Amino acid sequence: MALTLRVSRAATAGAAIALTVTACSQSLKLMKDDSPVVLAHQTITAPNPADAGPFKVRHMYYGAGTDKQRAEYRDSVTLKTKPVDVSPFATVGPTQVDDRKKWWGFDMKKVPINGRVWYPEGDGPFPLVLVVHGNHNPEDFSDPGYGYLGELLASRGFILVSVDENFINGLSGENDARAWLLLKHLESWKKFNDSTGSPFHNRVDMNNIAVMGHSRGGEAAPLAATFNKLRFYPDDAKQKFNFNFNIKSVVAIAPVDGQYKASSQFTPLENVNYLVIHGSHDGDVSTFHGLRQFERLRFTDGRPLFKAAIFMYRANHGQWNTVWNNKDNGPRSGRFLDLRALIDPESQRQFARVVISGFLEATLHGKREYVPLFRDHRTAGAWLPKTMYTTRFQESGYHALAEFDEDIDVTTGSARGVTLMGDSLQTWKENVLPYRSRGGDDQKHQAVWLGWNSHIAGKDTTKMGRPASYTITVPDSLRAAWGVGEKSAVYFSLAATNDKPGPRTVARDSTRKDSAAADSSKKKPAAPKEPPKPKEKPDSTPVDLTVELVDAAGHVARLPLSRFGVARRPLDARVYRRDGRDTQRFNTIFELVPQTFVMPLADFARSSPQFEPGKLKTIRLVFDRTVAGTVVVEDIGLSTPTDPAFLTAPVSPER
Amino acid sequence: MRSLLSAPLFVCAVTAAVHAQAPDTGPLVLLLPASTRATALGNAWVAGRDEDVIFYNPAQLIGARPGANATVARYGSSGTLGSVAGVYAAGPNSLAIGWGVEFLDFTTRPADSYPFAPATVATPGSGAAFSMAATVGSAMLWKGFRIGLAGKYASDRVATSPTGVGPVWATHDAFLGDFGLGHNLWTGVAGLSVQNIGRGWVENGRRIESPLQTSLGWTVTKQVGELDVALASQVTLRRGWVSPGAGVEVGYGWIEGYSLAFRAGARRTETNGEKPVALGASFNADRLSLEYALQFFEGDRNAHRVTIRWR
Repeated sequence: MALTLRVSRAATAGAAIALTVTACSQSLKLMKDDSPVVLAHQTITAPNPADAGPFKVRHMYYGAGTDKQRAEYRDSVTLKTKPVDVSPFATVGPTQVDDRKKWWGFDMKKVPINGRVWYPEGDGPFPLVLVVHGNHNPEDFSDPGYGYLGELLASRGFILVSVDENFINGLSGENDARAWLLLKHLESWKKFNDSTGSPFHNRVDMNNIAVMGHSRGGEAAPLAATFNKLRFYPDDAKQKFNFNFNIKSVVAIAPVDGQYKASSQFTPLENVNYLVIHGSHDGDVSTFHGLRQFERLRFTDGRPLFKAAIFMYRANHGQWNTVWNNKDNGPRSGRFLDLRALIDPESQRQFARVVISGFLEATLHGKREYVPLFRDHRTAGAWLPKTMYTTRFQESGYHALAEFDEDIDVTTGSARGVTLMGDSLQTWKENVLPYRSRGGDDQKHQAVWLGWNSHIAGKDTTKMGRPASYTITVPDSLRAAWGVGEKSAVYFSLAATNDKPGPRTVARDSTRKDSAAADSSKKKPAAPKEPPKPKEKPDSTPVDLTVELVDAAGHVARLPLSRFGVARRPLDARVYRRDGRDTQRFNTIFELVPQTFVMPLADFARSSPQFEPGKLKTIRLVFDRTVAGTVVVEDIGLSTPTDPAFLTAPVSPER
Repeated sequence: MRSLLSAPLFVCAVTAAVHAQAPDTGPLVLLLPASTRATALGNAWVAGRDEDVIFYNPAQLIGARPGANATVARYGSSGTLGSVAGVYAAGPNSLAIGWGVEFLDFTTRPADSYPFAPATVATPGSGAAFSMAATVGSAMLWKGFRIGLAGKYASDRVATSPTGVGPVWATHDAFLGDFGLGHNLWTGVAGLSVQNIGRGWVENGRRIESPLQTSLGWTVTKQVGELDVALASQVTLRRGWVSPGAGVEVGYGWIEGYSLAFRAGARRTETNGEKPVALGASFNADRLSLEYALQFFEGDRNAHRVTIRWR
């Protein structure tokens, strides 16, 4: 009996512990995958940029040749480089100085210029691409983790260098050092290319350079492009810069932003092509910081440049690097992060292959047939792994009508004379775009919130009011100055939210006599209590609306927004394993990433032949395709693209 | 890993071979392990870090996560100990304030003479006795060194006339002080404390000294694969009597905030009445921890000790 009682107690205790253990872990919750529909098209006819190219791939290392920890940079270097003094840009805390020097064999005054290189066999000259890792355990070397890109890009005629900056991992505020080191590597490559004895003599196309970076390296890459054009280090002008390389393109992989601020400012960036990619399930940099750099990039020199930001559902931070993989939160990530939610590593890297290779082909090799992939990812549905993507895009022909940053008047646009007007909207406000992270961090960029509900309040639930709308008026002077015509396009970026305003109230007719109002002392009969409504599940149907363009003569052309892309509801991403941890650590469990819609005026003209694009007067968003909802709209503008490639390969139902 | 395990094994070997009586000191509660976790780690907690460290080394209050705990221990069928402790991070220079109170209710046999040995608490008797200590301490950081001071009031009360109308209580009081240092050393933490500084008292013409003791110890925690392995070690010198002690803790967490740990430790005990080896375990769920320790005494008597901790 006593034994039975003991066993039963033990079983109860075991069950209690098992319950405690399992109850704190949340079930896997993923958004419904719409890729079978959204990725059903493939309008780009060029070969898949993720396929290996015709070149035979060769490998080599360069470096100081004295590395204590890295055999490849000690014993296998083909080209020797001189160590550099990075101490003006990177500071090691006093408690770490001795340990670091002892382990690495050098201090910040003599850091090596080490790189592992994948390059094509042939005479070239080949474009040069540098990639730099981010912060990670310094002893778990990060630079080999981009070999999958190296093999691909070298086979397609690029020289890819994975830069070793492991020795500054574990520091803080050192992203300027990461950027400066990238530029020192470019100096080495200039020497390799210029030296007659070098195996790379005249084989490097120093006019076609791209810099890429991951995580902290993703901040360093655009910073390198900015430092490249400066004469002095902004934080200490005693440090002179003299780089001036022809950096044409910058790629940021899940970057941080603002860890380094030159002169206390976010890094400005000008006149480069820019691609940033980020995963919804990033367990390290959990906010899409690259969107801020995307917004800050300005095109001022008239060249046909573009910038793109792609948000990949179920991608994490580390799987872009084969060393890091799914350890976004350190070696014990599985305790913290819901690894079940992640897309498989090979699919995540396949996405990187497609977009990075496509971007470099388009910007360094001039293969402009890949440009549409960045305008609208649906153009490459067959190449992309089956998950959900949100794309931001802008090119150098873009002119802003309304960016909502210029003042607090909701009726004025960003360009002179542009007016904005809402009609029958329940929500109409401008505000800064938030990030999901706590702590007040935001996208440092404004947008407009537009909410509507076509239902009229009352017992008749079928009664609908006039569709709400939001109108942007384009003054004649701007239209002329920007050369708006048949080759132009309307741009805006839009994100649907989960908010749904209540039914619209009818304006009260104050001329009618209201007996109850006349004698307020009379008590109204108590209304019967309605049972509480069950909590509505968020609507997962994408929002649709009509884009209505009106020319100066009053001719109207209308097309549904869904023709140009999907205005998906927010993609919930539960990063953590513990139930409730996401809501504790984030303001929202989704990142608000607006999708860019690029709508050629020619498409509207085709749908309504009387409409004259060159006389565009009004752009109106008419909320007549979804009964109720709230959207966030930013970057409304017009573009006459500087390169026709920006509008090619459209995904149109009737084509 | 091998070095982590070798220290407690060494202590086991030494303590099994050497047994000599510790000097007669009191009050009794100051001679007992004062922490459930430390009990299972060979009472080697001079370089530890939690609320209970107030009983071992006030300097180590710095770095202890603010919180409080309550402990109940049952020694055989006769002794019961209750204790509470807390620590509060007060601000500049890592100022930390800690407090702890221990109260021990036990019985004595006519043959037991004062001051009592720790094994007394697990031995049934007929005479009522109490022992208690209340400690308040504080620590600050100075040039990388944690420096702590604590003051305590300790008292033994023994019923000298257990029969008749009622007991006549003999009370032995002492006001004592502790001084401690802590510093990061190699990959772990080193701690040094001098405890129970103060005068004793005269009992029946015999001087009873306070258990003035100096302890030097080192703890380290390492990640070994999915396991957290910790080693605690310490040597205590009490009025010429030397007591080494050490223990190993192996922890495993399967999800953020939840973990289990198992502990084993050994030390040189005051008398043969206490066995050198002790075992323990803990279950942590976010801010809540439940600790258990099992201590062995002569005559198949055990002490079970449970702590609930909230941080």
